[in-house]
Amino acid sequence: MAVATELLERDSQLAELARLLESARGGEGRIALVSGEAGIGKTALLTRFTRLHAREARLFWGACDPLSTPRPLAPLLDIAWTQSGQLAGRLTAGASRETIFQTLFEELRSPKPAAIVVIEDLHWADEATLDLVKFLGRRAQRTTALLVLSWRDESIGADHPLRTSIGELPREVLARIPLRGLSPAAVESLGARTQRNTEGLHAATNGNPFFVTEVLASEAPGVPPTVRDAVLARAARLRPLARELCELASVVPSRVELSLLEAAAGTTFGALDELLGSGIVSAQDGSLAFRHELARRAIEDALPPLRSRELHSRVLLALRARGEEPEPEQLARLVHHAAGAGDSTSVLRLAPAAAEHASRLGAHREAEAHLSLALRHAAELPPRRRAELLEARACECYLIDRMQDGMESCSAARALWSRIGDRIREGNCLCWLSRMAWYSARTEDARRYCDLAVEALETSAPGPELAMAWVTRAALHCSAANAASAIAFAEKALELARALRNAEIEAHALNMLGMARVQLADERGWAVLEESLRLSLEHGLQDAAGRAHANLGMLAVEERRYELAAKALDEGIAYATGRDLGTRRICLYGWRARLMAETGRWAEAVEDAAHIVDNPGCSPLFRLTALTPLGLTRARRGDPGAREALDEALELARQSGELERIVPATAAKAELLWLSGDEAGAAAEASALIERARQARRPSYVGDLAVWIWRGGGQPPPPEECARPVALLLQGDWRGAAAEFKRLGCPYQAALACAESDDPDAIRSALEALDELEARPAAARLRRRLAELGVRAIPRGRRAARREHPFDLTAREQEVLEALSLGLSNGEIATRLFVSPKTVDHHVSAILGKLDVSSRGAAVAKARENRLLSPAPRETSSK
Amino acid sequence: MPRYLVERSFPDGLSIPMDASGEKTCLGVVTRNSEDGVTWVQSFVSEDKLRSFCIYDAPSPEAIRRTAARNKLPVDRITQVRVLDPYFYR
Repeated sequence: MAVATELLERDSQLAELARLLESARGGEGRIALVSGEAGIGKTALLTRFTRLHAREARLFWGACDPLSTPRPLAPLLDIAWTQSGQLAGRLTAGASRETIFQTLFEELRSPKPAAIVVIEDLHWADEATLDLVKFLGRRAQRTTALLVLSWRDESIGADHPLRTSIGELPREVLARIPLRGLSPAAVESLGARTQRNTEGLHAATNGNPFFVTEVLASEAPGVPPTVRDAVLARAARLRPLARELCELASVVPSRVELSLLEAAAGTTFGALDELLGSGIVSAQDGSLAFRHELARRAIEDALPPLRSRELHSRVLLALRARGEEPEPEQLARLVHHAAGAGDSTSVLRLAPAAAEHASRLGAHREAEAHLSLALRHAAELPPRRRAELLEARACECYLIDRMQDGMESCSAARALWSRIGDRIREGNCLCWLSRMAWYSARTEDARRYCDLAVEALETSAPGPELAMAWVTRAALHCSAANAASAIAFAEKALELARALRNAEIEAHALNMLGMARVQLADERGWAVLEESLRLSLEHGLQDAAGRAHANLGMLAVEERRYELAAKALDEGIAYATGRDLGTRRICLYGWRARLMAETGRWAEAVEDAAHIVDNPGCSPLFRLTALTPLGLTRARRGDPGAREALDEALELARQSGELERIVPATAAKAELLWLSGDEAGAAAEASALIERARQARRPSYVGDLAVWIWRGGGQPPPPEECARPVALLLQGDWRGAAAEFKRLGCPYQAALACAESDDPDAIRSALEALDELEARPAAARLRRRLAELGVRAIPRGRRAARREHPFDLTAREQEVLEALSLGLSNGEIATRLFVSPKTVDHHVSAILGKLDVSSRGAAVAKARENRLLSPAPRETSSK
Repeated sequence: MPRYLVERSFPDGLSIPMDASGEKTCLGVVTRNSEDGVTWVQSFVSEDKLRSFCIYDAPSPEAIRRTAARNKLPVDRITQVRVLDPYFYR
């Protein structure tokens, strides 16, 4: 952002960047994260770096907007502007986001010549730009590019979306380059050049280079207390006309074209030379920029409110004079100045169009901000128009998982439609309200809204809105474990959807029908679910496809069909990630976390859960879906925080009132109590819910609770009401139960089943399995049990530290390597490990990289050579 | 941020050389920790160097395990703790 003057004490950072560029040139793309406070010299460093390497690498440079609502993909617009290639053409032709991203990627892909891609000021990034960063980040290794991302540390709080985006970048290509202040010696040398006394300067500025030079240039006596004071002191020395021009320029974020400034300034423009001479601003490529965004903000913030409005309206007028129809990518800029000028008419004309543009590019957060702004100026609008704006905002809120705000807008829209007398639009709003209430774990409200929606819509001729309301009612019946009623409404909706030839509603209705059948143990349900998914994918129905993946994955986890579950969830996550369906993606992570927890993959479980739990704005329903496996995993590893996570999960689950949420949370809590030695507590916890589970006639629910009643010494329900492995256990067949759990892919539960025997050998082998899983509390219970049985030689458990792998392979990669050595194909490995072939493909490339070989055969040979393989091929597919 | 006591065992003994390479090892740990918001406060090592008791500030126990895996450090047990000061009542 700052225009470079000096560059002191940045040699090591320049060397690090040069090293990263070298590996990028060799076909291994890299990402450098340059962060530091405002004015620390990020732009100066990157400007110097790119100049030094201008001959050997192509340069792509873009910056994010400091507009109140940033333009979608602002950095890409910068890049396209400077590149004559296809990118600019695709952007102006309004190509889809995927095409635009892909075009840039093709430009950087090996073996193209090396490139430096700078994306500056990510703390201001719009949502679509953050998606671009993730998109490029995931593909970095296949490029010859060094991607440099910069941001201000102090501008990204704990819940800033940038944190999540950075967290998702592949670690192996990342390098962090934090910038700190200059040393006292460097500050002194800067002062010496201006012949100024630098006493106290380093302490006051913390060595911030921008602050230091600003103080030195202000020529004011002493050191001003803040950088803002230093800037204002310097501007105060301008003569009136130059000062006026400076103030006008300050209301235009980042930089202002000279032609625009001239049009807005009128005669004041004559003071340009004086302003440039002051060094506060500089001109470059026909634009004028402040020496630093901090300086611009200091001057803008000091403007009295009325003066600021007047300046904004002058800029708005000048922008308007450029042509009658604004370019879509200029809309955000126009909105910014219209809002600054307090010009409601312009805001109402521009903001909805800006929202539509942002939404189309997947910048839903920005779309929501534009619509909110329009609504603040909408008091005078006719009710119909206002209701439409409210509905549009509710829809954006739903997409970015801000259900509370979405419901507020939707309620207001509903009230307006009701007053206007449009029952269909009112019913449609009620249907949305029902869905959002459900995501907020407010099941009672969801039911009430749905009833009202059906009531409103049944008075008019049957249309898509009514069919959707029936689908919503079927979904609520499914969640309430009331499958028979769900089937009735799903079938009605299906019939109407087919009569209306509406594939989207047909897909939703099939989904509900399949789900209800599976809940009734009707095997035909699975095929109906697959059919719903196929139909959604075929017609490109994003919402329906998301729902189909999620419900298929969820039911498969519940019914312990982990292979099917892994496939549906992996594919669903890939689908949602590629299309930026945030709400769906988060929901899928929650179910995959549970899948991982039940199949003994603790690290993966907590990683999936973290996507949700670390996101403070997440809907209660998603939070709860993730908290249960997180708490359960903590309990099984003996980590702190298990009780807190499970208590919160239980509270949210009870609030939702839905069995599908309450059963897993309750079973997990019972297990935690049992592991901590409170057996009666475990039985009591599970017993309190068992009658509800029995009434729902879901053997998986009954079994999950029954096992803790039984282990806790309570009175379990009849075995035939429980899912098979638990039924065997309850009948005293621990061996059969263990085999069944093992076959299903649950090593932890298999070990716990063996622990029920009186045979020390069986317990010993269970203990070994638990030690291998690092399930400390359960292992401790088994050690006590062996002692009770009078066994003297109790294995002490492995003393960790065995984890270190000579080639740094993860446990999972080691498993894949073993499978490779058996000559299995990716498909076969995928089936064994319950993952998708794509995931296996990922692991295989990681293995080849770490072993530094180029083929699977070579990997196996090298593994044999280095004794990385188990002596005999292993029988089990999961550890 | 919660504070944790992390117990580790080193079957072959823990040895960090008292020179530049030891410093580099420790600083590497610090850098890798910071990526997950984990701060290593201090550690106590048993006389035989087979066990260590480490005090950490971290956002969650998962963050501790994640950084431990990256630093190739074993984890036996994680306990959330609070400071109890003997002179608190004076």
